[in-house]
Amino acid sequence: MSERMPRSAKGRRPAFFEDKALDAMVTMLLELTTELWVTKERMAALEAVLAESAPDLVARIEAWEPEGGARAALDAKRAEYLQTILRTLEAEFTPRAEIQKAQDDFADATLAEADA
Amino acid sequence: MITDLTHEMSMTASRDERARKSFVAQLRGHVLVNMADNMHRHYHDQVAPRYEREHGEPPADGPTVHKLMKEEDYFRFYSSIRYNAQEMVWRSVIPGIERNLESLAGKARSLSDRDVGGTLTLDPDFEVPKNVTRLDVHLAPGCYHSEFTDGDVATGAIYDQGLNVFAAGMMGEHLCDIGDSFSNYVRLRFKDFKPGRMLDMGCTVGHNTLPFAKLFPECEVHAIDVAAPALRYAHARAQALEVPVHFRQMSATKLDYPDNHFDLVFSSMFLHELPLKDIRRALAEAHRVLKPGGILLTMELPPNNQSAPYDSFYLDWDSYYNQEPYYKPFRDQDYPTLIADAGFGGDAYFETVMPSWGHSDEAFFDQVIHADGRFNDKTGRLTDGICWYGFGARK
Repeated sequence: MSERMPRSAKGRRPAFFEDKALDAMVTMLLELTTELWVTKERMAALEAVLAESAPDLVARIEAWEPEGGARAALDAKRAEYLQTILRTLEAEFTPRAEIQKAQDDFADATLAEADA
Repeated sequence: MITDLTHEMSMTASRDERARKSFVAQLRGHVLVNMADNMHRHYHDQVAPRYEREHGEPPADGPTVHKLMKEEDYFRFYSSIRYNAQEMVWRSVIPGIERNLESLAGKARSLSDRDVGGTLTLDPDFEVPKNVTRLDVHLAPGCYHSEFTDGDVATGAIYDQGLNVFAAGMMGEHLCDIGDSFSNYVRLRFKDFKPGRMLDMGCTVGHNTLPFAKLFPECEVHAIDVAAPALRYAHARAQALEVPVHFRQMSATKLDYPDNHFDLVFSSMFLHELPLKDIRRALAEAHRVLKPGGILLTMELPPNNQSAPYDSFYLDWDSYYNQEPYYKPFRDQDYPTLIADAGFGGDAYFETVMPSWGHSDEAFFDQVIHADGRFNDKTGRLTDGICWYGFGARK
């Protein structure tokens, strides 16, 4: 991304929490919250503009229920979405841990060979 | 809801940018009203009593309260959210300004030619002082002076549009509530006084200069700042709003005006951005250029020696966390002493707390500025029931 104007102020950002990770988390959470609001406002704009040509649009959206394949697709997307957000809490309990161990062993061996 | 500025130096933000600005403004409002109230209650109910049990007396000053509050999770969340919201104010306006960098500079050039009567005088040899170049004051990237294109006005636009988000509608359409309040204070408090020539020191985009020129149309209004792009923007903005003002690039510490030249020297939210030695110089210069009988009037933050310990701590937050390191050292001064040291006579000093002009009617405003002892915990705070604080002297 090429930017002509800086987006951040000079100088050290203060740490308010004992664990600096928490300060970083607050920033991420607030940026995420902002962008979620931006999306919600755009959705409201989308509905309002579409409703100008289809007056019953908002009611139709409200009443809409996915059927058949659409329902299955939404269920799958929701499961994937949750999995993505909560993945760090599950890392140790999924087969991924085993895969990760094999990967780590391989990487360690490769690096050891390179050092020798 | 934050809408685009209405004068010609404005530009159209994208739909998402408008949503982002409104969100950030509301986030700040939540922190400064809801969270601030909760934090004050938490201090009053738990932090202060605990300290008093241990020490046999309540916390004596702002720094003590700050030390205690730094250990409290509520203060940590309040501060981190407020700090992030401050960064996000600027981030909500910069991309749009960057997109319009050349067109804004072009618009400023053409507005300069409009027959309004205002002028702009920049000094190509001027050295911008370190308190501006070394710090991104208010966490604003690029501060006041950085330039990104020829004839740049970007930092002025960032300030104007950023303040529009920051103030969340509390400073009026043209963000000039301080100027409106203080110009009307002059009109109502000094009824015999009609300024023929005035100076605004540290005017930034001139938002608080213009109300004086409008209220006193016979007055020749000069305004100075150290930052060229902010001044170009200020000039274009004044031309667009058809208010004649003479903007010049100059330091308040070394005024290029003769002695006994002005009837009124004004500044707003300015002295607290200067190192103490420069505050002293600026006040001495103000005294020098004022005519006998002339008035110095500064809108400022209230002093720590008149604030309760919690209010001191609360207002000094900016000094620690908003890149305004001169803010607390200024508030720690005794203002009458600063004024006396600048050369004003012993009884020349006055101070005032006034309600926001935009949030009160003239009768109420007039009544309050003629009363004494009006300090409260809303003084100097951008929140409901805001009051402005000022001090000055008559030469």
